[in-house]
Amino acid sequence: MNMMQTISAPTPLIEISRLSKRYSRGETVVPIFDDLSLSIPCGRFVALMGPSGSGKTTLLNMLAGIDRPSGGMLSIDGERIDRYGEAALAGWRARTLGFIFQFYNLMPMLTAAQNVELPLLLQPMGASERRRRVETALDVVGLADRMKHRPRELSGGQQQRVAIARALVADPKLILADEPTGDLDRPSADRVLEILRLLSSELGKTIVMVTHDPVAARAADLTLHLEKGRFVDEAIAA
Amino acid sequence: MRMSTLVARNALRNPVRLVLMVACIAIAFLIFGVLSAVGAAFRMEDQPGAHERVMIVNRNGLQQTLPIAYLADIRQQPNVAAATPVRLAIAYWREPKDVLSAVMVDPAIYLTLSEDSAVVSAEDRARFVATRDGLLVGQALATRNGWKRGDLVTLQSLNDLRTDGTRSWSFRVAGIYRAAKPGGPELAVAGHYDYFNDALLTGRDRANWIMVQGRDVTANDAMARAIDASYANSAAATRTQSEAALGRAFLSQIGDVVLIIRLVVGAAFLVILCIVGNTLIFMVGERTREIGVLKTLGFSGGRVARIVVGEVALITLAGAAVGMSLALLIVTAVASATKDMLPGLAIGPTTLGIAALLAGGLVLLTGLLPVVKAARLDIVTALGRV
Ligand SMILES: Nc1ncnc2c1ncn2[C@@H]1O[C@H](COP(=O)(O)OP(=O)(O)O)[C@@H](O)[C@H]1O
Ligand SMILES: [Mg+2]
Repeated sequence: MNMMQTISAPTPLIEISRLSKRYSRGETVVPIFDDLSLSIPCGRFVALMGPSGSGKTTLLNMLAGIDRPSGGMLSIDGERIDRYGEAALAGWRARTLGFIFQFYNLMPMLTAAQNVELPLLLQPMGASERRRRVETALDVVGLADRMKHRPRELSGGQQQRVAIARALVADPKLILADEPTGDLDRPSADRVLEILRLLSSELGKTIVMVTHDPVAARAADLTLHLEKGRFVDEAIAA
Repeated sequence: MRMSTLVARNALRNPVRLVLMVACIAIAFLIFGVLSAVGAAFRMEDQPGAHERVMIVNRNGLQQTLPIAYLADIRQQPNVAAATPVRLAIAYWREPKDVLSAVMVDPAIYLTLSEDSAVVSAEDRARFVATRDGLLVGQALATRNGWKRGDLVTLQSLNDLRTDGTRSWSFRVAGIYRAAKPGGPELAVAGHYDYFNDALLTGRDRANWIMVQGRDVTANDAMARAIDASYANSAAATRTQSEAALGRAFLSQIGDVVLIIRLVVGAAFLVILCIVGNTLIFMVGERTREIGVLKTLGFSGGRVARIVVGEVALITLAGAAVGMSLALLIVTAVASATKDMLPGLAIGPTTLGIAALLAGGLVLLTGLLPVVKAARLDIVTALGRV
């Protein structure tokens, strides 16, 4: 397998090379991408833009190890997750990944604090350590006073901030977000972007955020444009 | 928060559905508990001495009788210590619905042969044996009917007609017996075979069975074979067996109670298996997206499966506990009201053990499909496309 070379960048966290993805619908095979290569260094905040149907979500899902490439190489933090089985992938996600959905996806029967605590159930960690982490994470997103609230008692923006706290509580290296501001009004969206910015600059998280919104993209260090299964940017390794 | 909190929160999400499922399972366990207690009461035939006594009946079934002439021959058998004829007379006193079981016997021998199950004072024994129209009455029955020693009571027989054309039999209460075991049956009456037989218009000189006490219990089998061999070619061939075996034969006449109980319990469990299993599959379907989210967070298929199993187990065990508690309450109440008629009506450790096994089996069977469905759920499909 031919690893893509990156120039002058620190250790890459994400490396994909000649990545392809096809869906087969009955007889016909629908190619989404067939030769995608990309390298994202540690600590970078990347916005992924592109027309609807261009494959942004598909790419993000593969980075998250919840969808599988049809071919090519996919390495994150030095782990060849394209070769992992289901169980190994689950463990890898618990260690390495925080995921933020467009529609928050909080558990309705759990409080904000319990929702944030969920990923910590997978960590070898005592109850007091978990509580401390949950408080810190909710503090980072400015919701320390909403610990006991259920999702339905929170606004959309607040729910998304709880979801961000859930994504960062286990201290993952990589945070993936699929249109995290897509369902929010401007002020709420700005608040969310501000927090993501902070996670990147202060905590050194690597973030890949799919977005339609040029304003949101401006919060990132770098924007990649995906069109018809290719990056159209001049220097994707910037 | 622990994994169990997640399980409990999940179970409590839809309280109405939870209550319905628990109620459904509880009813099945209630049916199981109560019917098992009834079955246990019917199967209880090993009273003390039951295996020492031997019963001789007509080989062609319990509806057939034996000629009383056999009695004298049987008493000649070397291992026979004592033998009495037993003639069943179904009768009632005043209220036709309060049917009594009356046995007409050789009084002295019957008293000896029943020593281990019925306690009678020496005075009552002597009076019962000496009184030709004497009646030995169970304490519970005497109390219920207000009978005292010396009372004259007239019983109406259902099947037996007297030479005077009536069905009225007058007896004098000569003695009262108490069950040897506390709570044992005390609702029967016994009278003299000769007194009854002499007044019979039809079916005279017959016995429903002959009750025998062997000298040496270990020789009972050989004795039984010898008796049956000697009547093999006569008009009324015999079947000689232990009292316990006869008890079982009696029950199989009114239908295999145990089989019926198993069928009813089986049907009840099959129904809840379908209802609960279906509801659980529906529940997992409803939570598809959440399961996808959990898996995205790093929950493995096995962990998701355990969360679902936990919820199934919680619901099933709650239902089983409620059902068995209700069954215990009901059986305890009914048992104290009917301790004379159905001694041994109780939910014992065996029944509780079977209930636990049933609950475990139910978790496995109802949980299997939903768990597999949840564990295998593809994340991308589960999250849906937006
Ligand atoms: N499970 C699937 N089966 C078939 N086609 C799919 C499936 N998932 C996505 N696609 C197709 O792949 C393309 C990219 O989809 P997606 O990654 O969701 O795009 P985006 O997020 O950029 O809007 C679309 O044309 C979509 O129809
Ligand atoms: Mg998309």
